[in-house]
Amino acid sequence: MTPKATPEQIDAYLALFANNPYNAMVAIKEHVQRRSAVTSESISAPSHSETAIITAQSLTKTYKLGRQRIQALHDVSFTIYDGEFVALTGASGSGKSTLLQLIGGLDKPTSGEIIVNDTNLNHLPDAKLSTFRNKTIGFIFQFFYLQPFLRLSKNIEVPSMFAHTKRSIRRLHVKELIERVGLAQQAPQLPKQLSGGQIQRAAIARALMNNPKILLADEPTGNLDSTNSRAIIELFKQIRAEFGMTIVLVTHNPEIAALADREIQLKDGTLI
Amino acid sequence: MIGFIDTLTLARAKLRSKKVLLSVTVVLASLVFGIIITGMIVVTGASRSANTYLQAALGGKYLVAVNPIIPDEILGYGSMTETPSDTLKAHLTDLQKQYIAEQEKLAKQYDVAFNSESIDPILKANPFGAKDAFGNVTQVINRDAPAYQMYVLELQNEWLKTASNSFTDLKKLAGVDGATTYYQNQRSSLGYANAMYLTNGKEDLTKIGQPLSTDYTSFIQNSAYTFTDQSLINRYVLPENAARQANKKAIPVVVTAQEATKLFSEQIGIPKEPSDAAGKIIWMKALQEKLNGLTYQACYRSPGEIALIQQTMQQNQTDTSMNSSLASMQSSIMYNLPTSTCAPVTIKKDSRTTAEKQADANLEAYQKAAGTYQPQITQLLTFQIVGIMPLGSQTDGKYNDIPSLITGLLGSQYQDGAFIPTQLYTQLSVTEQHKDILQYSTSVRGENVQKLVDAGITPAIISFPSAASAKKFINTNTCLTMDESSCKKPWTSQLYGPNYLLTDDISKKVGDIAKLVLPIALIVAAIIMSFTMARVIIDSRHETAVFRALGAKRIDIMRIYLIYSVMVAVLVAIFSFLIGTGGAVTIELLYGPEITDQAKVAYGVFDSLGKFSLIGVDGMLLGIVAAAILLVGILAVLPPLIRNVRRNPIRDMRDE
Ligand SMILES: Nc1ncnc2c1ncn2[C@@H]1O[C@H](COP(=O)(O)OP(=O)(O)OP(=O)(O)O)[C@@H](O)[C@H]1O
Ligand SMILES: [Mg+2]
Repeated sequence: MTPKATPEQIDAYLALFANNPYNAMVAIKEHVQRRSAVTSESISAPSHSETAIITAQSLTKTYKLGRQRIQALHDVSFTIYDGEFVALTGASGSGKSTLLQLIGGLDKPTSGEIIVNDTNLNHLPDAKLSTFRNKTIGFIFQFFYLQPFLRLSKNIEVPSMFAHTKRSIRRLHVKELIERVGLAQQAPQLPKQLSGGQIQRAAIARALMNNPKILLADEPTGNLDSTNSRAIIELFKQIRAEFGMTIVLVTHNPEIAALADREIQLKDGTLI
Repeated sequence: MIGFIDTLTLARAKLRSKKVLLSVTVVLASLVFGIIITGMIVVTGASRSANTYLQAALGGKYLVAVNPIIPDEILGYGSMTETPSDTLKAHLTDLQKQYIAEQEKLAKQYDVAFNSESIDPILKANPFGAKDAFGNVTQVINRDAPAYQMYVLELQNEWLKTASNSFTDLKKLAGVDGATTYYQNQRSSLGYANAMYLTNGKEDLTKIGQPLSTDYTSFIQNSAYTFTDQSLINRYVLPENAARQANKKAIPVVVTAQEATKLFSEQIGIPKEPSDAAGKIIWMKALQEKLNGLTYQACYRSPGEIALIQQTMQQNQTDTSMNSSLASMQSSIMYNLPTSTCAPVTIKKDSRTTAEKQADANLEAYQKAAGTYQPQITQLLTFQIVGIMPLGSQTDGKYNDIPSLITGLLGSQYQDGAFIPTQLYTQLSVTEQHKDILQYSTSVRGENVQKLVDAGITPAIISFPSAASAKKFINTNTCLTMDESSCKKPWTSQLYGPNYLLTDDISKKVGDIAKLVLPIALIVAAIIMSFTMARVIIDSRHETAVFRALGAKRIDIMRIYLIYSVMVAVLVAIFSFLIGTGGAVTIELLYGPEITDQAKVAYGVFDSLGKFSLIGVDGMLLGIVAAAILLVGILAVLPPLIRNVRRNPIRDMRDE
């Protein structure tokens, strides 16, 4: 199993070498180097467990637009298991983003239940829901949504700010992630100085910042040319190999869909 | 919850966005607050400087001049048309009889012919001819009648039983407010216009006994001198120079610069008073130098002597215009007008018989006993200028421009224009003092006041240790001079010397204005800030939604944007203080020197005083402004911010 550098582990290193911060740093560095040595080639896709991590029961979502009602989801039920890589496909307007937002605790269903990591999101108060989004979910939005006024490294760091992660650990982690997505050079730049592919990679790094259990990605290659798409696909492969987290990925791209363990298809708000 | 340093990091980064809008906000709001701060600095500076000048001027004495309030009838005044009651009429008639009887007895004693008809009656016909129900002309009191003075004395006795404004009462009440010293300025007994100022050493007999003019620069001409304790006018008394050392026999006088100019400018060549402050300082200094030790003379003639001169002048006129034998029949003594300056009237021809002479001697003895004798005194008085003071403030409370304001702030409020400093005066010998004619006359207006004076009903000047204690005394125990008729308190009062309460009044007025202007300015600034800041917050809906999606709690969002607005407010505060200080320094550079000169002129002493600075920092006031800026900044963003965090993040993320 690949070693994971969770904040908890780094904390543990720091605690272990509490009397000698220098040694702690050396230990963490070694840890990081060990992980960087892992390549996608050497790792085959791990099989997922049998533990349900996302359970949807009769999910329905209706949007009100003035007098108009738009039923984005209708009676959707499914289960996704821990460590599973699911591709969510369907035509434009079929409700993919809506479903992803419900899973990510960004919105509440009109009816039906959504249970993530043994927690029924319907019953979470606002503050707990924030914590859930922060710690459990890593979200990669369809339009990236980096904060325009923050430098790239800060943008990546944002989730850890709300998690109150120790500053020393954070800095290491940001550095590691930036290198991982190949943006070390661009770290001090503002989003408007970056290319689409770079922004997308930064958005992925940000989603990984708090080591989430679940990664939700809404068409991560949708707006990219083929070269950039390829790089992103490569990145997802690595993430999957390295972190073994649950991934739900919305895509039109059959090549990416093929990477997944399973494909869930939506049509006009219902599963097919 | 997000940590403080992260909040700062995010808020600071946020300052980078919306730069134009933000700059406009900061500049506009800073201008508004900057102007307020300029005002505060200048007002604080000016009032501090005014206080410093005042302290120097006052020498720790906060002086109040008080006058006991005495009802008119107690002083012998009253209505000219009012008909007295029958009881009063009967009483007055009794008094008249009593008076006539006394006079008759005295006349008999001195063997003087007495005619009761010659005594002024106590009741007379209404001068306007008003009639009663029966068609008879009503009678009114003749307050000129000598017997009426007996009635006034009765009234005074009665009034004194309950009067509560004697000097003793005053000391008791003023003592409560911490009064330290009491002075009693006293008019000289020379009498109004009795000691004629000798222009070029000459006496103009035609103008004898007549006031020359009644403005504020005619005290010496009208011989209206006031004895005053030297410590009250010390700052105007000039150091002894050669001229003063050479002549130590003259009566010392401190006079206003303006009156001195009027009297001496021809003699010593002083140019007209310049209108600009810097010129005034030079002018005043020259005046002080030239006038110190200068002497002038005045001829004192007693009322009896003045009457005789006027009588003689009439005689001469009659002599020339009419048959001389007829004229000489009318009077058995003929007089010569004085032939040299301040010489007495001399007898030209005395054609009285021995019996007539005896009768005149008897008459004199009788007049002396009755208190109506008028002696004939002529004396040449020599005065010496020992001090120059600025003319008292004549601004009558209207301060339209800065110079008049400063004069009002610092100018003297003396009501008397020619002072004889008592300490210098008493150094003279008795003859040099002219003790027989020049004495203190405790002045309460009215004539028959000795009884009141004996009872201690006299004006006084009180020294308080602070403006506040003086003010407290004034407010509790006295009315303004002009409110005397309706006053329910025992005294009227006036500030004596520089107006130390004006600074107080002005700072209060400025305070009132500030109370009005500050909120308006705050509202204007708040509107500017809330428009732009609210815009910024509304425009951050998308950012907010993204933060929320990444796990920010509502409170986190509140913290980030509140800190952001505090930062903007701090920027506004910094620029406001820069603009405010810049403005104050500019005003100081532009007006400081002029105002300093102005203040020195108003004060009348030119050395030993520093600059009249217009810069003063009141930490409290500035703190309040800083707090207000912060408050405005926070209040401006609060409503849109609260709306933002309540919104559905998904909706805001979609709206792009
Ligand atoms: N906030 C909203 N308010 C109103 N209607 C909405 C909202 N979000 C989505 N919809 C509507 O719900 C339907 C499903 O939208 P959704 O974004 O889930 O589709 P999608 O499958 O992600 O499409 P695409 O592939 O174009 O991203 C659409 O008809 C959309 O217009
Ligand atoms: Mg979508």
